[in-house]
Order: sequence, then structure tokens, then C-alpha cells
Amino acid sequence: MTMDEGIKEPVSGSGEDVLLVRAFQGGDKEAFDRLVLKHQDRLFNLCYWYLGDYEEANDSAQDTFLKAYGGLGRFRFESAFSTWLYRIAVNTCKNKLQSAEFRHRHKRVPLGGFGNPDREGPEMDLENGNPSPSVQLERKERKRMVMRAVNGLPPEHREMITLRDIEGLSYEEIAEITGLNPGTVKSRLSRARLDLAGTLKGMV
Amino acid sequence: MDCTRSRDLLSEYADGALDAETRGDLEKHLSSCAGCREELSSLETLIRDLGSLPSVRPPADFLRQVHKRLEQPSRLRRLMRRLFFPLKFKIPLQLAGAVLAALLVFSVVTVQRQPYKVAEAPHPEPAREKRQVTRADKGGAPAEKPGPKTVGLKDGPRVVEWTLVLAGPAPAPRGLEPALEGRTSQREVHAPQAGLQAGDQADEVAGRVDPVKKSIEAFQGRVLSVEHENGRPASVLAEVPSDKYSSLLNDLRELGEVRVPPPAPPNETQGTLRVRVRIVSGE
Repeated sequence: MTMDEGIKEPVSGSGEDVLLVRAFQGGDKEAFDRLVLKHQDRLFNLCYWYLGDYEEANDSAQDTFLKAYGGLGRFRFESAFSTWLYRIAVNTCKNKLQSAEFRHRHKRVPLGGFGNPDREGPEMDLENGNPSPSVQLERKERKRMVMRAVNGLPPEHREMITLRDIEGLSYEEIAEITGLNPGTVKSRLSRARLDLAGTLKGMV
Repeated sequence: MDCTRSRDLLSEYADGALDAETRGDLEKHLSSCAGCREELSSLETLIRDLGSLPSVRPPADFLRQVHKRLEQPSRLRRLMRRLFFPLKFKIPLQLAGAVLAALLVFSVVTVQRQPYKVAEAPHPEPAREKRQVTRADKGGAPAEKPGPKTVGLKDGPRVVEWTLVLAGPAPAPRGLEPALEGRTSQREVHAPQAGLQAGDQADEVAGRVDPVKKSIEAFQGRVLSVEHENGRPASVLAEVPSDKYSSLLNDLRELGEVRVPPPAPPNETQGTLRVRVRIVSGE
């Protein structure tokens, strides 16, 4: 039995990821850089909305890629590379949220980009188009409220909102990343959304 | 379908994730329930808002930061390197350190055991002292044995034996001393030795006990006991300040002849001295 016979066919994901992972496993270390560059934006965004702090997100995103670097040699394509990477990211963020250090740091200070309504956060994509100033102001204010409301969610609800509504992942992908069954994902997401909608109603 | 069930399904409906049959049932309910329609509307707005939240990008040098951390040896590796490399020097040093530590532990354990053994061993000195004290306490004075008249405990008050000879011819000192030295009990020995013919002589001796006591007290002495012979007082044991020794002796000489057997009176000027004044008739 050769080594390749033990490797399953890729479940899903882009063909590019498969090629890059295989190249890395074949000794091409630069393939890892291309994987980082390809996934860093979405992964960073996930960490940011999960943790609500830019520096913490930076730290966790780096940790995620470091762990991926260490584990990529054993990656067997049982899931898409992006799903595997997100799973690492979610676990890293969860651990960070639970760490005493994180709790101590964020005990009094409101979470970075979320807590300060005047701050858009670093490197944020602003909307394009030229709506009227009053509409722009209204949208901006609404976004601030949503951001604050997301920040106020309990971690398990914030996780669902981040993965589904901000990152746009499917129920199945979320189930695979979080280890929950799809039914639980659906019901938890439903509660998270109703919770958030109720909070926003109260804020208006 | 009721509103509770409808609310549970709204999230999936908004995502287009319901099967056709369930979707049909829900839409039927929504067409007749303004509350659930409003709920759905706010949910769809929320999902739209969440989807349009700004994306947060990593810093421009994100990849470089990842590289930097990849190049850093892990904490464990750094620790191992610090502890053991270069092997040529650090392994012998660590072995030497381990041997020294073992020796240190061994010596500490050994040293700790020794005082323990000493503490357990019987101490001869206190035992001997205890015996001496017991003997002194029981007798009130050391048992008489041949030897000097001045006796006492090593650390306790000395006892000086004085003989106060009342008026009349004094008995030969040699005749008295063997009696004093050889007695085991004052009551048993001295009455026949003194040659007293009980009666007037004994009364005379007893009558001098009080003046002796007064004299002792006059010189800040303390009468410890009055000893009897044949049922009558015959001698006084007292404690006197050492510096009053001579004064008391001179004072007692007013009552009669005082014989002080050798050795010479002590020179101490501090502390106390025990004196036994034995009163004998001069006949």
C-alpha cells in the first residue's frame, strides 16, 4: 500500500487548495504562503467578528496558520482545506475567549472595533456607491447598532451569526467546523437571530 | 401551524432551507398572521445587515508576521536548547550538578539524624545532680561522714558547724567532734556523748536557743529549724548572709565559747551560708 492510497479524495473545496496542500506535503514550503494569502482575509474576518478585537484577531489568525503549518503534513482531505482551517480558527478563538488572559484584558475595556461606535476598525471595507448623506448616516448608524448587538451576544450565538451571516457558510459547513449536528446548528442559529433581532428592536 | 412553530421555522425560511411542504405550511400561516410576517421582515432585515457588515482585513504584513513566528523555535525547543546545548559542555556540567545535589541532600539528611540520636541518649549530668538534690532535701543537711565540718552542695549553701559551749568547763573538742562526724542522726548520737545528765543541763541548753535565734535574726539571718535532742531543743540551723558571718560569730561569743572547727570560715561576701549552731553545756 502506497502512501497515496491512504489519502482520500478531496471531499470538497477548491481544486487550487488541493494542489497547494499536496505541493506543501511534497516539500514545497512556498505553497503554504499561497494558502495563507488566499485564505487570510476571510479567516481574519472570522476571528475579528468572533473575538471583537483587532489585535486578538491578529494573534488568533496567526496562531491558526501556525497550527495549520504544523498539521498540514498529516492533512488527509477528509474535509475541504478551508473547513479544516476554519475548524482550527474556531477552536483557537474559543480557547482565547476562555483564557483568563483574554478575560482579564477585556473585563473593563469594551471590545475593540465593536465597542467604539466612532471607530470603523482598521482596514474595513466601506460600502461603495453614492447614496445621499442622510441615507449614508442612517446606514452607518444601523451598522453600529448591529455591531454592538453582535458584541453583546453570548459566544455560542455569536459563533453561529459569524459563521452563517457574516462568513456566509452553509449549515453543513458550520456543522463540520463546530462539530455540532445540522439540526442543532439550525435551531441555535434561529435562536441567535431572534435574540439579535429582539436586541436591535430594543435599541431602536 | 401556530405562531410558536412558525417562529422556529422563520430563520430557515429566510435562508431558503425549508423543504417544499413545510415552506407551504409556513406561508399559509404567514398569510393570515401579521405578527409572524413582521417577525420575518425584521429577521430578513437583520440577515441583510449582518451580510453587509464591513470586512476586517489583516495587517498588510500578515504573512511576514506568520513567517516570523514560524522561524521562532518553539518555547519547548528553546528551553531544551538552553538547557542541553552544547551537549559537550552542558551534559558534564549537569551531571556534576546532579552529583553535588545528591551529596548535599545526603549530608543534610545525615546531619539531621545526628542531633536526634544525641537528644535520645541519656544525659548523665542532670541525673547526678538530681540525686544530690534529693539527698539534701530529705536530710535537710548532708549526711554526716568523716571529713571537714564545713559541708555543702556544690552549688547550694554551705553548712558550717558551730559549737556554742555554755558557761563551765568546756568539753574536750576531740570528744565532741567524733560524735558530730560519726552521727547518722543528731537525736541518736549526741545525748549520751555529751555526757549530759538530763535535767538542769538540758534546760540550760534549751534556754539558750532563743537568744541564739535572736542573734541570728539580728544579722538578717533566717532560722530554718530548731533541732532537738532527747525531746529538748539543742541546735539551730539557720541561713545567714555570708558577709554577716564574722559579726554573727562575735555576737554568739557573748553567749559562750564558740568553737569553729577547721576549715577556716568562708571568704565570700555575697550569697548566704548555712550555719548549724549546736549548743552544749560547758560541764
